[in-house]
Amino acid sequence: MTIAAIQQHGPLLRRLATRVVAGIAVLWAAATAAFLALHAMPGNVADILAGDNTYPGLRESLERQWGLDKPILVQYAEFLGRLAHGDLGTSYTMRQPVTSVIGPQVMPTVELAVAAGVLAVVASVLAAVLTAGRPRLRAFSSTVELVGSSVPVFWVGIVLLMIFSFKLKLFPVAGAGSVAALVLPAITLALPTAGVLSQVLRDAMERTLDQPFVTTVRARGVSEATMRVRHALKHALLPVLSLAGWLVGSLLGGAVITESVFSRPGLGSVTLNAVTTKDMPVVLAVVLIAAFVYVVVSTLVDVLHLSIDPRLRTA
Amino acid sequence: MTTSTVTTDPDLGLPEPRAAAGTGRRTRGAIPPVGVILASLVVLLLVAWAIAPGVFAHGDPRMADLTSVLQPPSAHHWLGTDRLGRDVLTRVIHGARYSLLIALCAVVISAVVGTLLGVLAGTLGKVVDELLSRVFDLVSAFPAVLLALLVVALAGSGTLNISIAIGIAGVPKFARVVRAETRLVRNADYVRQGVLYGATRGRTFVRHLLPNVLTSIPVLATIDIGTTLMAVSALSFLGLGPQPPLPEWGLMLSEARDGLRIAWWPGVFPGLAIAVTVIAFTVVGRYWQRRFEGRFA
Repeated sequence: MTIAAIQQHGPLLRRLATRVVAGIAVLWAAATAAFLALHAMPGNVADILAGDNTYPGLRESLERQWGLDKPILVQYAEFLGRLAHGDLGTSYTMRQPVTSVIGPQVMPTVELAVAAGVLAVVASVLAAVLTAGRPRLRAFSSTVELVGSSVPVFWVGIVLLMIFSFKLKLFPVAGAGSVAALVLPAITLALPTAGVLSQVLRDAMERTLDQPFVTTVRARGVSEATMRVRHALKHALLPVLSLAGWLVGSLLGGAVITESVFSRPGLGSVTLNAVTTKDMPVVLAVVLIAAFVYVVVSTLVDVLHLSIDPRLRTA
Repeated sequence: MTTSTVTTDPDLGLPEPRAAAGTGRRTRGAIPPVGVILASLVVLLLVAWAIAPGVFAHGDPRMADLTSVLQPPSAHHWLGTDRLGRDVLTRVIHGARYSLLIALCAVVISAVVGTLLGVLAGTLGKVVDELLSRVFDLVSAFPAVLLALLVVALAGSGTLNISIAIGIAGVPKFARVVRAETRLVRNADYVRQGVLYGATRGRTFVRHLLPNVLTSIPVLATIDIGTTLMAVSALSFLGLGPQPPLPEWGLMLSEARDGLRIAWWPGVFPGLAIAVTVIAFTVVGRYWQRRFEGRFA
């Protein structure tokens, strides 16, 4: 990169660097919190490991084996070192690396979350484009959104199961792997997210429709539909972009419940299992993964924001 | 602060919508007053159910009757009976007490801790403010269910613990609002006047700052009860909250899950109760929020 280019993009690069450093700081904070949680947990780690077994020397050997006899700061440093290498620790209950407990469960959850995310975005874009600035349609769709975001996910899942799986026998009741098995869970998970997204998107759309450039476009004789899709939507999507981090979080959180309703394998069921068996390393690993995904997504979104909207670059 | 009604769903920790440049359209009320009146009546009914369930439903919600198992809705059992022969309507009415109480506890925890931290962030200077604001951002960005699962994993399951878990997840939304209000009120003329007249720090805080900061809390809390109820009942649906035979709505749903093929009513009605409750509290809360809008700015 030439000096001129650096000068030109200087502020942009600095902002990028700040974002990345901030992201790393957040991850470090999350990891530290996780370490503290592991050790602040009621009950000694060695006691949890020992379970109901008691015999002389068991505690000592467990402590040696799990490195619990070392000073706490050494344990902390080792913990961070392992994390940096992608080692998320060892499960208390399954006595195997957390990565191999979680690994096979990642794909089903990603499939579900991506399907639901796409569904939610498409539905909310449609709702916003069709109803923004049209009082009657708007009232109808905001009622639908209120209901959509107020109905508990697990109940929607159960009702869909009853109608489409038990009565109509259109979709399988449980399991994963086929596309048919993905339909109902994806709809269930998408519903509350779509409710919120379309509220935000329509609000942004209505603010855009008030802008002078819309009047200009209309004056050129562009049809209402073209104007909304080609011109207004682009602007309306900007504020929604900053919701991407929230979107990922809500899909992950909702996945826990959705997977439970549909008895799907995935990160959610692993987490739930770990919570009930107090398998902290697994719980914390999932939390750390969620934090990691959130940081990556929101950093990417920031970068995207800067590259889409030139107005932000001059600040 | 421009408050638009659409992004006020408080459970989500949504970023503040950017203020429209000049010509922002005022968001008109999405809910007609008839709806608000209806919602208020529903809220009143729910509160009455929670306070005196015996008035509305005779019989014991825990009393099993194996002679009338899984009866469909009828004149005798309006919402049918579950697999232990318990009247679903009776259980839904009694369930209001548990479900609302758990949600209320969580909201109170969020509101109290959030107000405290918000005031601290608003008064203690830049470093504390910056630090706390980052923490609020972080916690609110994190999915509430996952955060609550973490707390439950640490503290164990149970009714009180899920209230605490969901309560912690809700702290930032109160803290942020209170922080913003504190900063506004702190610089208001009447507060400066008070200081000029020689009011001590403590007196300024208790007599002038706090009452004016707290005005927005009841409205926020009302909206929040709905969303919190949903989160709480999700945890109890997962089996982490109250245990059988308590008639809590989320728990009732999860108990009915295995029998859905045969009987839909024990699962559908508790869920409907949750949904209606959430909608009613949200509608009422949003209405009051719009009524109060502009009074704080």
